Amino acid sequence: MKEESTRQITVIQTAAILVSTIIGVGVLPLPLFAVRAADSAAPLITLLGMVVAFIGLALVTILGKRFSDKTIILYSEDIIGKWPARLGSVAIIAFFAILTSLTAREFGEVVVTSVLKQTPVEVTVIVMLLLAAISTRNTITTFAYIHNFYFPLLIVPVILIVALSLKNAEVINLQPIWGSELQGILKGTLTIAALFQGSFILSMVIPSMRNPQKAMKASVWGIIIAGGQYVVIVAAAVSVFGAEEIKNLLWPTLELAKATSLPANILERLDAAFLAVWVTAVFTTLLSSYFLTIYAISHLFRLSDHKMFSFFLLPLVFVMAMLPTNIVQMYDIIENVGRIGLFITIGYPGLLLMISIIRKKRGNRNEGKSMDETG
Amino acid sequence: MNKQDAKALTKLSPSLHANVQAIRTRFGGSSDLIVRLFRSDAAPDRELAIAYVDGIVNADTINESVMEPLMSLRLPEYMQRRGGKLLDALRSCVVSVGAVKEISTLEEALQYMADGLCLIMADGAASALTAEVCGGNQRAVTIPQTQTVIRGPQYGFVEDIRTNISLIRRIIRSPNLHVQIHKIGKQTNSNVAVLYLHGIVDEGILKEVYRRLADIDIDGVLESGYIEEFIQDETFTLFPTLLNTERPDTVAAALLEGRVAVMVDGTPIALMAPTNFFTFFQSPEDFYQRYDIATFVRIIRYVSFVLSMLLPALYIAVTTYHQEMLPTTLLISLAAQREGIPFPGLIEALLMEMTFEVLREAGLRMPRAIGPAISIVGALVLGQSAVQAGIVSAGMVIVVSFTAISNFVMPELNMAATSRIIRFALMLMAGMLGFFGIFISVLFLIVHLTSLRSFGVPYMSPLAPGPKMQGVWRDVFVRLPWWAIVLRPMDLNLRNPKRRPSGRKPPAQRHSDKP
Repeated sequence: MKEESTRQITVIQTAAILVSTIIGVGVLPLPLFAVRAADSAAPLITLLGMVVAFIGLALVTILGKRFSDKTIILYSEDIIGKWPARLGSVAIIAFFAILTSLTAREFGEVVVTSVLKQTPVEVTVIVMLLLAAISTRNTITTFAYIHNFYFPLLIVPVILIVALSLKNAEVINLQPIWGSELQGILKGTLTIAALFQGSFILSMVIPSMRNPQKAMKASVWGIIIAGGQYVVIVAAAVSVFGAEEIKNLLWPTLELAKATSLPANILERLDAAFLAVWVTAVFTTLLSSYFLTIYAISHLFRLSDHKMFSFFLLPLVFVMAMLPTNIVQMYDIIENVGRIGLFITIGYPGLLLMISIIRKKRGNRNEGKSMDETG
Repeated sequence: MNKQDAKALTKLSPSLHANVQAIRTRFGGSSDLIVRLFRSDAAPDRELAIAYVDGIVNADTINESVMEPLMSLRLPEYMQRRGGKLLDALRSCVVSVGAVKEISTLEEALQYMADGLCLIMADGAASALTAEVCGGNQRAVTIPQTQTVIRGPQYGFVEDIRTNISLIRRIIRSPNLHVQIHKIGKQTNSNVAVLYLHGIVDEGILKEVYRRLADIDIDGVLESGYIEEFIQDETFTLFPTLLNTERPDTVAAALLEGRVAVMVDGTPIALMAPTNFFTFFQSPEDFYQRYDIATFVRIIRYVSFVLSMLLPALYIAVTTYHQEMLPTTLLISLAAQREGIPFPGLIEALLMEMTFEVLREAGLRMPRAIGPAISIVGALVLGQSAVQAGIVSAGMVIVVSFTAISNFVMPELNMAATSRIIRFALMLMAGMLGFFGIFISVLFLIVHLTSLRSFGVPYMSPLAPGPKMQGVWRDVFVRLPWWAIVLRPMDLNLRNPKRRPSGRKPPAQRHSDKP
């Protein structure tokens, strides 16, 4: 009983992992990113970003199904050979370590700017990273349980805030739906697609799924729920504030929460309550990218236990999080890193899939029963 | 007797006097050791002896069922002819006690005597008989002291494990109720019974319980708490991973749900495993009351559990960091109360919470007669006067009192204690980081809870990892009518997950208005 079998994660749990990983710190500036790129076409561009992100996720899923017993770290070695694959794996690890630190920093900045104005940003960042580090010291099954637990907590409040904000919404703000100028669309789409990058965690989860062949179902649902929520938030923010005003707001979603209040006048403002939900959302994202990093490291070194890396990585991630000097620079870095990341989370799996099809490489097909996976 | 001790065993000698001497020596000449040598008509040529420890045996039974038959009866002819097998003859024809056993080593003999059995020895036989004559003074079965219900059976366990098992047997009248007794404790040799319902319990969990019990190496077991700390999954957690109860009906219900019960001799508290977080919010009365009332009360319990952890922390966070969240009028009245208070919110809250904890502990430990004095000091002096003196604000007193009361709603004391300890940690975090600190702590708690297991069963099931079957929800946050609760509650691979074949209410016979 004590040893849990390694293949325990269900389709629903996988979808929950995807949703709660994708919805994260990016929710706050998301309407700003979208509006900057396409004005009133913001919801549309979010949808486009979602489609691009889904292409990447689909590549990872198909690869995962072809090699249902291995993580991307291991099967990439089968496909393109030992050393090129290790190079790719190091890139993945580095990228997600950076993503972790940027997420933590962005989170810290929001907290320090909007709630705890006198607390140094280092404190909020280190607290959050510590929490994530401690939480990664669990097995991947527990990791799935954690996401499963938080899943409803992420969906319901956002829907609630969007619904309550409809009181102030103006449909005219959303028109023209196609936007007025089309220059920024490609860049904007990529920026938004980059917000979905956490979904790469699927490449680590598939080998622990009870039925890896159903992974595609999980990724479709994950993208639809998370992406749908993104579109709804962008649409709500644009319809309440209008495109031009959003350009002046750093975190339009937070402003959206501030603008709404509960009917019964119990609480004057909802932003602190919204931040509570958002802390959860950031935590799950952070947990996933942190977990992905150390899980990938442990697989790269063929270790059976990833726990030892969780604190080993902490100082490194923390220092990286403190590197940007201010919010503006941080968001520049985030946008750039995000776009570069697309090469890793979409380009690299695409390349792997192509080569594996050309070389007719496949993992062993006795899915569901293999117990040799380390976890 | 353990297998390791096998070498140290000494055989009983054929000489009666040698055996008696050995027993006396091993008991250190204790004065409550009774050894009686006698001759009987049953075997006039050989000396007999009985030995027992006074006080833990039933003297009447010894007299009526052991001594009297031994001394007065004559063995039938054919028995006398069989010579050396005197003990056999005694066993089958003379001693009229239910359970009689033949043993051949001194250690066994001593162990049985310490357990309250009577030893019958005969000269020339290298073995002895034990007769079950357990007895002595015990507390009678009474109303349970810690878990009271208004509707439901009004009797609780006592200290004697045999009585306790019999109480369960009287509820579950089935041969499927299996009882296995283990001896644990090198010195106390306490009886630890494992109870389960064969055919419902998960064999893997049962094996795990046996394995963990077998691993216990301790000199004495005085209460089931000893066992609990040895067999729980995780030591470094604030959350209990075993249920405990002193109510036979609760144990019976747990057995019916597929759990394993562990009972320890000498305590009225039985353990039940595996369990999950949500079981701690269920009172036995939930299942005796109507389902709508039970559901309402259960929701109240969840709310008050959360409040008893969070309320002081929220108060600290709001008054210290997030004043803008409150409606203006409430904010003004709170600010006016706090105007003359010398301490920051955190210190004020810690002061009051500590005071309450001290009062609570005092209320538990003091002799009954001092009770009213404590309540006067607590309520008047510390509550009212503290506010009047301007040391704490009235709002804080309300918060602390409500927190304290909501803590008492919990049906399981160990879970209530958990929330009390967590409360202090949350208050500190709220004092340092406001809402952010509270959220972080709650996140941590939930991560911790999801990582817990109770005998391999995820602690937060069926919330995380989600229910394996539809219909598990019917007895978690709400309680649906009994006929709707088709599944046993635990999200295990139970052999027999269904309580009953369908979830339909038996149709009532409708009487028409016509006569």
